[in-house]
Amino acid sequence: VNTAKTDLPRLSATEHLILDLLSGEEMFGLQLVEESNGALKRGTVYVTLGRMQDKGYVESWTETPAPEAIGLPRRLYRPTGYGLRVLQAWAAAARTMQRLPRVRHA
Amino acid sequence: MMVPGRTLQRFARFVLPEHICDQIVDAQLADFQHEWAQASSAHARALILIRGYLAFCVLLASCAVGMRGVAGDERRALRRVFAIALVVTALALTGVVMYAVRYLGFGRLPLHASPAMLAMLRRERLLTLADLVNQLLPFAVAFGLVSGIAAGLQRHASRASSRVVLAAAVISCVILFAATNWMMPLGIQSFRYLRAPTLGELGRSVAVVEQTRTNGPGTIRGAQLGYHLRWAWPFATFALGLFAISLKHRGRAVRIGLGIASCAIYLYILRAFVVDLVWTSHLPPILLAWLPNLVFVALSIVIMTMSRRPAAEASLTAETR
Repeated sequence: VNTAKTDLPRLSATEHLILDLLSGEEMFGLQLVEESNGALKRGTVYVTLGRMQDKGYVESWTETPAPEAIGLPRRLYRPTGYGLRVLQAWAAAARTMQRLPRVRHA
Repeated sequence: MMVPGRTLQRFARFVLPEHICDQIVDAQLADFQHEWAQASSAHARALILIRGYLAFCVLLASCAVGMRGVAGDERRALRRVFAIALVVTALALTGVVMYAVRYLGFGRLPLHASPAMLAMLRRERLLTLADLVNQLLPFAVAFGLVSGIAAGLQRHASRASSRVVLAAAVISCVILFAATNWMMPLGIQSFRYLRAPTLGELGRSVAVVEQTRTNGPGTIRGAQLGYHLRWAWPFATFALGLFAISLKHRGRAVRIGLGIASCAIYLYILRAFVVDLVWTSHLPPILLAWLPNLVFVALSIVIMTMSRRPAAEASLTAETR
C-alpha cells in the first residue's frame, strides 16, 4: 500500500507540539506561543490551528467577553477526541520505530 | 480607548474569504488586542504593537500563499500564475541587464587602462547596473504578475482566488517599497557608491532644492516628482495586477494582449504625459506621480462593475430556464 497516497492522518512536528500542549488544558493561540518557548511563532500558529481544525484535530470557540473587555473576543482551542487518538497513535508509532533494529549495509 | 487592529481587520476582510477571517485572522487580532490592553507601560505597548503588526503580515502572507479557502483546481491555476510571474520577472530583468551590457556600454572597457583602473571601472559599472535593476524591479514584478494572471488564471476565476492574487500583489508592493527605497540603496551605498539615495535622503535633497530656489520652479517640480515617483512606482504592481484581474471573464488571448498593452500604456503615460505635464501644467507633482496608478485602478473598477452585470444576468437566465 502506498501510504503517501492514502488518507492516513498526518501529524507534522508543529501539530504534534500543539496537540501536546493542548492535551493538558484549553488555551488561546498566544498562550500556546508562550508555552512553547519559541517553538511556535505568533504569525504562523493561527494558520496551523486553522489547518488542524479543518483536519478535525482541534476545536475552537470564542470566549464570552467580560463587560469591561475591549477588542474582539478571544478564541480558545482544545483537542478533539480524534486529535488525541491521532496523537496517541503517532506516539505509539514513534516508539515502535525507535525499537526497530538498524541494519547496516556492507 | 482606541484599540489597534481595526484597520487590519477591515483590510483582511477585503482580501481574504470571510470564514478564514472568522477562524484565523480574528483569533490573532483578538489575542493581539488583549496583549496590548494588558501591557503595563508605553514601551511594552510599542513593542507589542510592532510584534502584532509583523505577526499580522506573516499571517496574511501565509493565508495568501497557502491559498486557504481556494478549491483544488483553482489552487493549481494560482500556482501557475505565481510560477509564470516569477519566470517573466526574471526574464524581464535578465533582458534589461543584457541590453545594458550590450548596448549601453556596460560591457565595454578601455583597452589601455591599468588593472587598478579597470577594477574600479568594473565595480562602478556593476553598481550602476545594480541601481538600474533596483529602479526597474517594481515594473518587472508588475509585468511578471500581469503576465502570470493573463496566462495562468482560469477564466471566470472565483472571488477567493482573485483575492489571493490581489493579496500577493499588495504584499509584493510593500516588499518592493521597502526593498527599492531602503534596502537596495543602502546595500549599494555600502560599496561607497552614493548615486543611489534612499527615500529619506531623496526627501532631504528635495527640501534643499525647495529652500534654495536657485534653479527655478521647473527644477523644484521635477525634484518633487522624482520623490513622489519613488512612492508611487512600487504600487504599479497593485494597479496593473488589479487591472489584469478585472479582465478575468475574457479569453486567455484577449487577457494576454490587454495585459501587455496595459504595461506599455502605463509606461507611455509615465514617460509622455507625467514627465511632460510636470513642466507644462500646474498640477501638483504628487498627483502626477500617482496618475498612472490612479488611471489603472479607475479602469479596473469600471471593468469590474461592467462585467458584474452580465454575469448576474446570465445566472438569472440560467435560473429561469
